Amino acid sequence: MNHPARYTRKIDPRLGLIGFCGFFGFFGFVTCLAEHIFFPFVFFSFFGFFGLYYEGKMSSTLMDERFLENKLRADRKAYTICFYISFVSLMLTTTAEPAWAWIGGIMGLSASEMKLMFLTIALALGFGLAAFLSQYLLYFYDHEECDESEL
Amino acid sequence: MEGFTCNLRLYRQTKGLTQEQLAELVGVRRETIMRLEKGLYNPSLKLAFDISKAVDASIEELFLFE
Repeated sequence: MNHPARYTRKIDPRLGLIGFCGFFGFFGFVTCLAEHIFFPFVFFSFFGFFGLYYEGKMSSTLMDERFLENKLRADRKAYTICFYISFVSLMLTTTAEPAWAWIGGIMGLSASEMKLMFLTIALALGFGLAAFLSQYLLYFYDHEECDESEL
Repeated sequence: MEGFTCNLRLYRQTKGLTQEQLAELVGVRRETIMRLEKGLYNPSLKLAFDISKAVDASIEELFLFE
């Protein structure tokens, strides 16, 4: 029985604090309304770094078949959610033109700028959510139905 | 897991192995062995074979599907 042991990378759970950089995304509303600059919304994707907290908690874990199975399960669920968010966002931006123009009018933006803002926020949050969920769900699946006292 | 019974604990203890030792022998984590013994995890055919070799019992004796 020869088993080449593979372990998860060693990460400090405190790296998850980088996730707080995601709040910089809110500066996007300031720059967007004042200067019509949209890129700060991309910082919302930094919320995904909160996943490093859970990855850190599973540092140097032997990746056996159950771990890999759970990883596939977690990734599939996380990326499915990310896909749905992206798809729904794209669908919304290609429809209801008067609504975009109306909301944009309230905020002093054109319909195209409103769509750009919405799409940037939705995709950044979707990406961040996928990055976070893949780690969180892996941790959750790995520890579900487990009575630690029996370990 | 419904309809799945695992007799691994009995055979492991007969063999005088701890969960940790068995896990190391078959290349998985102790948590995986624990879940197997509680019938919460359905192992791959390879893992089932490795375990049956490690505890000197047939797969049919170790794992029962009803």
